[in-house]
Amino acid sequence: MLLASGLRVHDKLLLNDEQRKLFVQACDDFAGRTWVDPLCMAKTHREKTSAGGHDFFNQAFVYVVTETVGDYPYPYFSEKTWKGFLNHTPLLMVNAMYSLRKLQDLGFVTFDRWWDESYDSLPTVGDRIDAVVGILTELAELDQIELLEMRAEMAPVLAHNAEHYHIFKQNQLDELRKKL
Amino acid sequence: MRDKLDEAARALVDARYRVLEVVDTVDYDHNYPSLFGLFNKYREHNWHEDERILVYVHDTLFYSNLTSGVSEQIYNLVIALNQCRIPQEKIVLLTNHTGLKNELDFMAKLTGYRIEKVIETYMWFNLVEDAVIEPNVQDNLKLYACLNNVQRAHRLYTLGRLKSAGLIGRGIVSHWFGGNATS
Repeated sequence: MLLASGLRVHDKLLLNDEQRKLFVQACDDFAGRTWVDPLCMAKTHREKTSAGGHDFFNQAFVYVVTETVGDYPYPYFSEKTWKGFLNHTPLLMVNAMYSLRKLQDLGFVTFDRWWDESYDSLPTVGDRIDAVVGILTELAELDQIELLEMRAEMAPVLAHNAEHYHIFKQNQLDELRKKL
Repeated sequence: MRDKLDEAARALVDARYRVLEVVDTVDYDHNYPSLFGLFNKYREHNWHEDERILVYVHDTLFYSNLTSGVSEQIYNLVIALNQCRIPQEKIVLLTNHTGLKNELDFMAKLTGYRIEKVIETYMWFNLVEDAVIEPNVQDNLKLYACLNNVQRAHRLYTLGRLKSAGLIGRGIVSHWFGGNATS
């Protein structure tokens, strides 16, 4: 299945037969198309996700981070992940294997108190995505009050991550200074 | 071209070295002749102690057409540096690719050219600013947010899986994959 030319990453995913059928259907449904959720009022995606325009973080229970790459042999983080932490939002990661472990190594706290994060160690991105959507399917069974209660329960972890983000940045600079 | 390293990080580099050139691999991609031409300027250079070439590997890499597990950009980079006889100790490579050392090890075995100073850092231009948005969770929460800019296979698959699970309508979803925007 070839996607748009010029893709900067793998254009093929390692998928089983059922996943491949779903992927073909997804290409029919979404490839080459743009959809903007009415709750995203900014003119552009970049504007919406820039530092100043994070309203959607307060309007969603969990942020599904479809990182820049999903199938590298190592974790790769961009601003998408950092924005989630900075904006007090729980994350479900679509990223390389062991990306949650890497975030933990960097001092962030992930969300295994509330859902199964074993998806982090699944070897293919297709399986990891299936597991993430499985978690969402379970969360979808909860009503608003239960979701809000869970978010309230998460508040100390979310606050830790937002605060730790600044420590993390300073640590990064300190390490760079040492290693140069 | 804009320097993609975070300003504070770049200041640290400048305090330590005299940077003769910044080579951002994303600017070269498949263009080996251009990369070679850049390094070739330094083939006969009389290197001073503090002079360095700064190499950035921070954007996505091409792997599709290779079987060695080494991305095209890294392959081209090391081959060009080696061919132009740039002293290995004069390269400072900064990257946010946490697995890049494996690829550089492979290239060192292949070519004998080993970049010694490889530093992993997340200090890039797109590191989020310091302003913290006050959390103010709405009562009428959507289940999730999933915003997608560039079309990539794993994002298509994610959207497909969300749709098949009947969850598209439960989230704040956007995808900017081309065509006219609808909402």
